[in-house]
Amino acid sequence: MSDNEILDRLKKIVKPYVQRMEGLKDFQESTDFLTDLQINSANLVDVVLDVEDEFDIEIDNDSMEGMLTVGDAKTIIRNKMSAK
Amino acid sequence: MIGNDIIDLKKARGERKAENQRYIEKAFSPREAAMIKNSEDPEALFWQFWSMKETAYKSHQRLFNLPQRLNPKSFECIVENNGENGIVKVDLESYSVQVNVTSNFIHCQTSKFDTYNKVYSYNSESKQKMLLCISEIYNLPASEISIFKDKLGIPHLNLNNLDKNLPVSISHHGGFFSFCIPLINC
Repeated sequence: MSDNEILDRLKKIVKPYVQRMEGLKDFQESTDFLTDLQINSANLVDVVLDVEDEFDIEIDNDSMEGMLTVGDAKTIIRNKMSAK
Repeated sequence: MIGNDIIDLKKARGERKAENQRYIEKAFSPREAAMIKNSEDPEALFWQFWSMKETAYKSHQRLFNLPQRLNPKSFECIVENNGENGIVKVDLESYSVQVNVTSNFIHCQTSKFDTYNKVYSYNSESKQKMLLCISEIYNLPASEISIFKDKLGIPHLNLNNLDKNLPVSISHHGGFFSFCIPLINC
């Protein structure tokens, strides 16, 4: 799976939780879920669950702790997929 | 150190999170999960625990200058007999959290000193209203007060004429907005 495909799928997942839509226009690895997209922290756990479903992976607590940017999520998805 | 958090209960209840076993496993300890399940109002206790954790997180982050983390499970809520006030433990710290539950919202706050807390309905003027309110409390012109976030995303109050910063905790969820400031003489 290419980086672009992962980012496209991530963008679809986070969209329903985004409170700052301008942040989606410039959706890249440095995009911060809390500050750039203003996703509230309770919904960030929803994002983690949706990522698990979309990519058929399990995100452990240690990985979840550091899933704060699009790039963090991409790295976690890559690591978990290659470990399967 | 201070922290506060607001939950719009009407919005929150609509998400039916207390039924979501996978969500609960990511955010709550087995003990907390059992308390939520056995509660008369699982949704309300779910959000009370979430809000207590969030409140303690803000205070803990400020106290130790921590980077942002999504680690709700590191924060353990302890309440007696489903009572409203409680303690949140994280690492070696414990934070005493005051909880105010109404039919419309849950508001939590923690601090080691006297604070002023206010809950508003949220709209485009909420931030301006907060600044006016703070200016009255500190008896300073509103133009002398500004709010900035540091590199970690932690908000501070800057009182221009006094050349000093004070902690401020701000929260917004659904139709509600809240803030918490220390009560001091300026």
